[in-house]
Amino acid sequence: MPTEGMAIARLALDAAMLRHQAIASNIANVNNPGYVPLRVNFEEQLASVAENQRSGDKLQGITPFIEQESKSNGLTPQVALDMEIVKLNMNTLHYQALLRAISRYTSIEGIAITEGRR
Amino acid sequence: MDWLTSFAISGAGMKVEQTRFNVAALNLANANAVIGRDGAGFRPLSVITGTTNYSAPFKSYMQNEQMLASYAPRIQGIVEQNVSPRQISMPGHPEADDKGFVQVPGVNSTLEMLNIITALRAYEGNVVAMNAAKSMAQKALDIGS
Amino acid sequence: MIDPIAAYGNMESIGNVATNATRSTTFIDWMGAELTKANGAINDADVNLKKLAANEPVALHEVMLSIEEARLQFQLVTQVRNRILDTYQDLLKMQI
Repeated sequence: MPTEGMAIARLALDAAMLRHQAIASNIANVNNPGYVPLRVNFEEQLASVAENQRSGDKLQGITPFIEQESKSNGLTPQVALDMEIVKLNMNTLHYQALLRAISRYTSIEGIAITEGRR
Repeated sequence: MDWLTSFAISGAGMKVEQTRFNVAALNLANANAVIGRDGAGFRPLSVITGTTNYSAPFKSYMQNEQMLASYAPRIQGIVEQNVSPRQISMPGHPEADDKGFVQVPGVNSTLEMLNIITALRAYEGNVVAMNAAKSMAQKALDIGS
Repeated sequence: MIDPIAAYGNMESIGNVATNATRSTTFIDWMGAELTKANGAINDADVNLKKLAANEPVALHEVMLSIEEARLQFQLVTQVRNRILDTYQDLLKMQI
């Protein structure tokens, strides 16, 4: 069974969990002036690794991490509660989708283990 | 264990918003509390919140946890607002001055109502975030079944 | 009175049916094709999983359906293999 999909999916799960914490921190600080919203850096790291090279040791160096959002048009970014809730919903669904997909995918190999007698 | 961080973040946010709400409610309740002639009385309060700014030269897994912990909102202080008391005309009042005016705290009712609504919305947002964390963790428990 | 076998028709026509070009040829070929299909389905599921993880535009139902398809294909191949092995075991146990 090909395993690169599994490796990337597990990294994506880590990134989604971290992203939830960044969003929760943004929501908790919505009334805090001077707070700079947080985000997670993960998809950019994936994009920098060429698509046909996403396997094995190339994936080892990819780690999702939290960073502050950068200025856009010279303005410091602010927390917008409605956009944070939207991001929260998207991230939750993404996490659950990854979980379910990984679970079903690994159960295919379970067929070979349990039902392939002799 | 990582979901514990999420709950802690949302919990800290809820605590801050609750304090903000309480202070606004307190201000509104004391909007007409007479201040004595000697100046003893209520002054409107406001909440100062903040976080510790965190600068990380490199990234690692532990850095994420420390970064998030330092960004959790906290109440840095509850201080008096810089407003002067208002004067209301109450000629028969024991604390009235010779012109018949009493002093009440300069509570800006509109501002306090706005603070209440803002605190309420932010509190709801934190509740939503916490529920999302809970549902994600529960779905993770369902792997394999 | 037993008739000779030759009176019951032309044997060559029966052989022609077995090698008719419009039918799939042998069972082994069919099995090989099914294995290739299962392998392809699993690879498709892997590609879709990669796309989902990288947040690339892929429909969620597409991902789930391709995983289910891979699962069903693999189950089919496994079950057919098991039945064949059962039959083979039965044959071995037969007393001559």
